Amino acid sequence: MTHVQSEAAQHNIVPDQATPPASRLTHILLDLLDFYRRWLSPAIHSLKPGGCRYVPTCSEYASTAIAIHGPLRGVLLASWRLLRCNPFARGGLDQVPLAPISHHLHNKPLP
Amino acid sequence: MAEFRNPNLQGQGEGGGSGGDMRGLMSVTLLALVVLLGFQYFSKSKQPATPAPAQTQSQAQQPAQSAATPGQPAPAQLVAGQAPAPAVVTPVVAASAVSETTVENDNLKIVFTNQGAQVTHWILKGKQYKDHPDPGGQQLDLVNPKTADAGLPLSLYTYEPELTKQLNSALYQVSVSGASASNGLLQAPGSVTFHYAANGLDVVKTFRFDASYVVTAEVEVKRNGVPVRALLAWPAGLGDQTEPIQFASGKFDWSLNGKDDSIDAKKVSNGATLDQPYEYAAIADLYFAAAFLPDAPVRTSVVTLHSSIQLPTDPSDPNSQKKPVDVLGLAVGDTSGSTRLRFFAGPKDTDLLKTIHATGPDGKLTGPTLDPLIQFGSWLGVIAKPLYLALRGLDGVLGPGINNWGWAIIIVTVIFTLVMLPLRFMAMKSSLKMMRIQPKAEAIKKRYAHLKATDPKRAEMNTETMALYKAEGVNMYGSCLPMLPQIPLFFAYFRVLQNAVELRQAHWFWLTDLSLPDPKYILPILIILAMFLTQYITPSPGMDANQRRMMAIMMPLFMGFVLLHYPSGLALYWGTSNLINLALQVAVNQSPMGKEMLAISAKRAVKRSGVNPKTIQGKR
Repeated sequence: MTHVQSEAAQHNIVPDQATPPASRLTHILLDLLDFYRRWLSPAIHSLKPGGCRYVPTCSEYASTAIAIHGPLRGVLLASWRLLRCNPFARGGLDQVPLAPISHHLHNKPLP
Repeated sequence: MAEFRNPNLQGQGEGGGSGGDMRGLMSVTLLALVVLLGFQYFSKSKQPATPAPAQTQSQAQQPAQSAATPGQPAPAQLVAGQAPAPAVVTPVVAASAVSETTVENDNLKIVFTNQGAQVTHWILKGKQYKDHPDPGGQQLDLVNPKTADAGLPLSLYTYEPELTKQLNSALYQVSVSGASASNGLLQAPGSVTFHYAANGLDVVKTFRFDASYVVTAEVEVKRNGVPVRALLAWPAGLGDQTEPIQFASGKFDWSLNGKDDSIDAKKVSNGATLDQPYEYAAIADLYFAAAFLPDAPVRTSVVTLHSSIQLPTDPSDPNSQKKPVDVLGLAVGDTSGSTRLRFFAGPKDTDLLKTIHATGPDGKLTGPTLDPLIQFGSWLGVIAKPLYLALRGLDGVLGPGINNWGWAIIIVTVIFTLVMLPLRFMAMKSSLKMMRIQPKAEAIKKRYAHLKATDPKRAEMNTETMALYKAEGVNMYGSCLPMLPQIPLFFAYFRVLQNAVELRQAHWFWLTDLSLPDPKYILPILIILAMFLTQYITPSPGMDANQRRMMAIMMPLFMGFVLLHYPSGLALYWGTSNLINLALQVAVNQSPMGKEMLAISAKRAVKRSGVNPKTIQGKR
């Protein structure tokens, strides 16, 4: 357990303090993904040697997506990616879409 | 769906023994009855004075007997064999003492008692059907003594608990006909007729036997000349059910309008009447079934019975906490009141069930077979069925032999592994390619490591990695397949081992029953060792020491632990496949490809422990 926590502190995807602050949920999700990458992924891949069909891998994709888009959109994007990762997919380069430029109401001038 | 429940059903089967304090009550009722019947006789009233109080809730569905029931209550309290009341019109037909009739053919030995004209033993004579896999095992009796309180097979079910009780406790007159019938023993072919008549009640139950598992039954119950709907019942459970887990596998199976279906025991309601054109209706557990095949499906009436008994949760300890288990039963008859059907109770053997046809719409035996009683699961069935057929074919090829099913499992596993070999080889090759370029891929990662995850520039890292893969010719698609089919196969084996009656009590050396866990724990231990060794000698440069340890120890332990509690046939499959994997890995390690992998692996291990032991670079 302590080991996992130290991993969490160490992971390099530290959300920016200037941009919208990362929620607690984001942290938890990223930690879970780290845990998966370290402990579960090798187990799965020992049954299935070889690499992944996509670059970045699904777990990397999920981490990036959650870091950029937040937990809700991030998880949705990652789910969609998992659905696309199937034996009928071609694979290859598949980047996380960038965050849309936000048009918040308070940024707009009053009419 | 026309269905209603009989709230009084719980009373059925209880109070079979007349205790001392019951006798007083009974004599009073008897006296009352005699007076009533006498009054009836002298007044000569044939017309129903007042409609009988409805015994069941559904008036619309009630068969003809309800309206025609005379204003007298059923003479239920009359105990068979007793001197009949002087006022009865019909001649009394009854036996004076309890007797047994045994019917035998090559497959079955059925013991009837004339008390209720029902079955006390339904013994399967096939060598493979024992009640216990140990050498001292007896031939399996499909009549379950644990559930006898709920009634015996081929007893009658009516909507009047008192009548039901009487029909199932009266002493019937037995007449046996057949070429070799003597002294209560009948060698099939032949027939046994049970006749009971008293107090206006006239019951005839005829059972015809041939060389097969199928028994033809005719039942007619008349009260004052009016047919009463009486259904033939298999009231509760099957004889191989002794532990809660076996009761949990109970199912109600049927074919309706040519479509077969089934539901689990716990979803079956007690006393539900289903007047629908069933080609067959059956109760079944994993390996055995009791099925009714009505001669006239259009007039079929099915009543589902669901009782429960208390069983210890731990089968090995009779004093452990008791919990109720679901016990299924079934009663089938004809809505007209005169029932003709065929009845099957035996093993769910594919070859056997395929020969038993239900009655088709033309009245001939052209309906569906009982084959669907064997279920390998809806989507897993796609793999399980061919697997079962392959195993069975091999068993046939191997000829007679006690260990055949075990060998069949091993051979199928070897063939499967060999077929998968090219795919495996491809995967290993692509894995090696990945290993070769891993340092370059890591270098790219390192260059971008300082950027935040939200930095759009990080996307360039992926583009660069992709370019590297392309340049080195790493195949992105061919990596997914090799080990993946093993998992569905694992579950398919599981299904087959649990559902094929041929594998019940199939031996393989020290394994006395391939459908039960390994009694000596040899296979799980072997599997743990084989998996550990395989993992240990497999070059896996992507993992650090912790990950390797977990892979090498935790996975085998987990699998071994799982297989400790599952059918040993499953462990036999997994063990065989792991031994092959081990041999394969040893061979690969000797090859140039394997040597290169080992070298890369060793180099990286040194580098990792030397420079930065905490870097996480799992194979992803």
